[in-house]
Amino acid sequence: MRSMNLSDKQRRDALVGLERAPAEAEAPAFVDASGNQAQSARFVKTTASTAYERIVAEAGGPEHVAAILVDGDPEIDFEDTGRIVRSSRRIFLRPNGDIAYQVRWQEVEYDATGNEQRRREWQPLEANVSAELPVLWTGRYIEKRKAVGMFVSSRVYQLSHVNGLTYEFLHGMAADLQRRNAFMLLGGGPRGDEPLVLSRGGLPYRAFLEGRVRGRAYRLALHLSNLELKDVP
Amino acid sequence: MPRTLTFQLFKKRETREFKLEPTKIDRPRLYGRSERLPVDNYGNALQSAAVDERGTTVIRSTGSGYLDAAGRWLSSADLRPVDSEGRPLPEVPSSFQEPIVLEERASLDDYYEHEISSVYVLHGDIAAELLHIVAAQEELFTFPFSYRGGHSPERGFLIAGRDRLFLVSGRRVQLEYLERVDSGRIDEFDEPDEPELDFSFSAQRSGRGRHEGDS
Repeated sequence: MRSMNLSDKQRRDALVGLERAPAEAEAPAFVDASGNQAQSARFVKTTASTAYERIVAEAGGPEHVAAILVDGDPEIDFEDTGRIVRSSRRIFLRPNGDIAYQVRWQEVEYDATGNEQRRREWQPLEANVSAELPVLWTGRYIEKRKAVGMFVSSRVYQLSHVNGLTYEFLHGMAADLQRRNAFMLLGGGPRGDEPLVLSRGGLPYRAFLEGRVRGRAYRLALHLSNLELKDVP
Repeated sequence: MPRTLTFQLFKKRETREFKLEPTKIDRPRLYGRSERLPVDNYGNALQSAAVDERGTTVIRSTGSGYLDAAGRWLSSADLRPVDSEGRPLPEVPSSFQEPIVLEERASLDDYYEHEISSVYVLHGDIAAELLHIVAAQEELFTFPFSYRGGHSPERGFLIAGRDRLFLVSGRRVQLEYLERVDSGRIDEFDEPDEPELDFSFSAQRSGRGRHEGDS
C-alpha cells in the first residue's frame, strides 16, 4: 500500500496508508464453447517492412502504389503477421523509419474547441501526497447533498492507519466528517490549494475526504475528481 | 438523428415518459486537452512502435484476440462471458433500446460507494420537468445502464445539477470499516546502496575522467 502524509484540522500530520478501493465485481472472463477458459493474446498486424511510407518509397510515389498492390502483397509481412507477441518494448521511429535513440516530449495544449493553444517541453508533475509537506485539511466542508451536484468521483481510495496513534488520528477525522455529513476538501502544496498528484507524471485531481464510523471502527474514503457537473459551453 | 433515452416514471397510477438526448461530458469538452508528442533533438515528430521479445522485428501495430487451450484463435461468436464463479453472464440490451424505469432509489452514501466513469447531460423539451422531479427527491433514482449493451452493465444515477439534469454511470467499489487491529503496512522500497567512495581516484589516474587541474 502507498503512503500519504496527511494533516488534520489541528495541523497535526501523520503518514497513513492509501490504497485504491477494489471493484466489487470482477471483470468478466471468457470461455469457449466447451467451457474452457480462453486466454487473451496479442498478435502482430503490421511491421516496419510493410509500413505505408516504405511501400510508397519502394513504389516511387503514391500514384504507383495501386499497381504494386495488384502485382503482389507488399502490405503483408508473411513472416510475422499474425505471430503472437508475448512481450514487447516501446521504441520510437524517425520519419525515415530509423529508430530514434534520443526522445524528448512536447506537450501540446488544445482548447475546448480543439484549437491548439501552445506547445512546450513536457514537464511531469511531481507527486505531492507523501512528500515532506503534508496534504492539508483545508477546513472547507462540503455537504454531501451539495457535493452530489458539483462533481463526480473518478477514483476512490481508502485510508488506513499503520499504528495506534494513526488509528486515533484517522478515527477522529472520520467521526468529525460523519457528524457534519460532509466532505472535507484536501489540498497539496504549502497553502493547500493545489490538486493532488499521486505519482510522478500522474494526473492532478481535486481530493475530497469522506468519513464514517461504526462504534470504534472507521472508514475514510478519498474521492478524487477531475470533472465538474456542468454542461459544455 | 440524435439517440434518445426513454425514462419511465410511475406517478399516481399513471406512467410518464421522458424522452431525452444524452450528450457526453468529459474533460476535453469542458476544459480542453493536452497531448504528449515524442520528438527527436531536432523537433521532428516520431512515431511510436515496438520491438518484439527477440529484438529483431519492429512492430507498427498489433491486434488482440482470444485463444483456446490448444492455442487456436477463437472468434467473438465462440466466446461466452462468465463471472468469477464460472456462471454465464446474461447479455443486456443497450439502454437506448428499452425504457429505463425509474423506481429503484439509492441513498447518497450508496452513490458515494461508486467510481463514476461516464457523465452525460440530458437535453430535451421536458428535461426541465424531470430535473424538477429529481431535485425534489431525498434519494437518487438508480438503474442498470449500458450504452452499447453487453454483459456487465454499470449502475446509472440521475443527478440534478444547478440547471441541468445529468446521468452518471459507474461501478461500486469495496470499502471496509477498520478497527484498531486492522493496521496496514506501508510498502517500503529499499534505497539502493550508496556506492563506496573511491579515494584512490583510479578512474582519473587512468585518464577516463580527466578534470581541469589534473596533471
